[in-house]
Amino acid sequence: MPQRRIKVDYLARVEGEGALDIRLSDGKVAELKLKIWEPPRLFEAFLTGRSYLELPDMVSRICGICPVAYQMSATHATERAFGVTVGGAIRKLRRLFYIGEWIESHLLHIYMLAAPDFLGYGSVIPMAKDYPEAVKRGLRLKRLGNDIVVLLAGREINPVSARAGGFYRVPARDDLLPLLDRLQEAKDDAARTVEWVASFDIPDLSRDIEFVSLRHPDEYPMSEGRLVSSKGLDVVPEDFESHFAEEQVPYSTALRSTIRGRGAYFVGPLARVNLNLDKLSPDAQAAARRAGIQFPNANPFTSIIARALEVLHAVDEAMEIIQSYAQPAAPFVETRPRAARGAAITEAPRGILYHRYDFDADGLIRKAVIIPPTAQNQRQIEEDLLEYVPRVIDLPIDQATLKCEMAIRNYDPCISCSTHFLKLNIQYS
Amino acid sequence: MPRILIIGCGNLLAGDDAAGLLAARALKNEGVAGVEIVEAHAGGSALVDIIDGADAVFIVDAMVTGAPPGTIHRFERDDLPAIFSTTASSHDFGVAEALALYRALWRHRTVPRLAVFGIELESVEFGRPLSDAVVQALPGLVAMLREEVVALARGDTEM
Repeated sequence: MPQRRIKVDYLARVEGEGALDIRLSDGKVAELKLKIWEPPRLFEAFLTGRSYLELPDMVSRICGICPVAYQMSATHATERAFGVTVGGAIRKLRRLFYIGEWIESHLLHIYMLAAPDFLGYGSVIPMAKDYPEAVKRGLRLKRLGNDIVVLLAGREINPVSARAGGFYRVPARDDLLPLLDRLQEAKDDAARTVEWVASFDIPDLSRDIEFVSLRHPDEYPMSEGRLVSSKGLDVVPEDFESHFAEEQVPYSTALRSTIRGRGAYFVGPLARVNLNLDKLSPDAQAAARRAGIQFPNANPFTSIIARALEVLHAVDEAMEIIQSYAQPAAPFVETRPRAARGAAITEAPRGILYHRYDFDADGLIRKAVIIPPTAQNQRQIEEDLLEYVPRVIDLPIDQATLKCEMAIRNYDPCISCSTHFLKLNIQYS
Repeated sequence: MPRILIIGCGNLLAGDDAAGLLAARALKNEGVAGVEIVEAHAGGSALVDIIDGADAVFIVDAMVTGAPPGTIHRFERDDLPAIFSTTASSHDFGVAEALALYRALWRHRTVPRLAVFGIELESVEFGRPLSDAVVQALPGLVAMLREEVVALARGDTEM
């Protein structure tokens, strides 16, 4: 049927697919392959020859849910190449911009995607009948995140105001002030979100895991700081490629990353919380203690709690930024191109996002390297499944599939959204 | 004053998937008194918010039903569950799920009037312009939509 073909084609181009192949031998997992279909990395090729001024608007198209992350990694890498530092109100506005995206993305994940797993529903729609107040709370918070992004950059999908050095246009103080009342309400919603997710029945998959995130001396990490890990890594983001390697596996189009000499690693909200607990807002730290879950925590299933804590922190920081905001004289710091290399890591909702660009003297891109968080988590997801699959493999196939999806969804990977995205193929030998 | 809402859905970059947005935009440019016109580029979860509090909602979107490209469809609320299949997006859900979620959340506040206008698409390939069939059918869809909302806004037809 022609309509079938069109739909699959569309999905294949934009959305991504996942399949999990497991070969069992004597009841043990002999082989496990997570196949992720990610869009081919043509972006790196077609950015070549483009100006640094076009870059933020092009990379924002890589992801419909985290365009701000792509814009922030790209603009910071550009500024490092051209020797520009952005401070003051513009720097704070960028954090607010990123906060909007974190809220949007985390809320969609927590309420629409992950909560139905934990509470035993096939999707959010039947869950909403039993938990209407929770779902309304999630939608309210998500709308706030969307509205922050729209206020700063015109629209929530592929926002258009970011540029190297800052923004094309910045809001007046009066534009931001109306958000304060809503943030005050959101604070209560965010605190309840932490309580709600902490009350879920959370499977234990605690293991020896290397967590990797940025760390900044003065703030919860977003776009600056050193790259650190729970096993002692502590380097500048520019050294990323010396410490991490990408490998191609034949069964997946996503390149998998490893820490050189060690292997899989974990990026995302749980890594950030584990490595930056002391930088969460005081109320978020208090909420973490009240939740009764110990952080740092080596159980990937506590990711949903880490996300909720980040939402509470984000609301607190957004209020602080708006309260102290004074419109800067110019919306961006002047950038003058030069032939140079610049690399940056920022914390996308799903974890560290590395960009590296070589520019010529006119600011045209000679080479681009982009390493997204989902590709970095891929090997870690496989290792989680190797541990988790034997515990669920005796369940009926549909339940086993659901459990595996739930374990994969801890990472909110770019394949996570359709309710039942995973094809589980089990081969017995 | 009843709140009458037209929501155009789609993706401007994906061939015929732009049709719903373009229909909404055409009506917005012409101006229809007493009618709110929204372009929904984002996912279904945003739609739940947009619909909230409206008295009449008309959604317009590109569709695949197997009919010839350019065919105009009109569905009432009760037809919807049978028509929509699951729209899989990697980070959000589609129109059908948004309407189902809205119903689940606000059982006592269903929108009094809800209809979906569709235009059969030919191709949603990225970067392609609208197909000829959709270009030719679009003015008819816009006219049909205008007639319906104008009558409703004037009070000529009942909610």
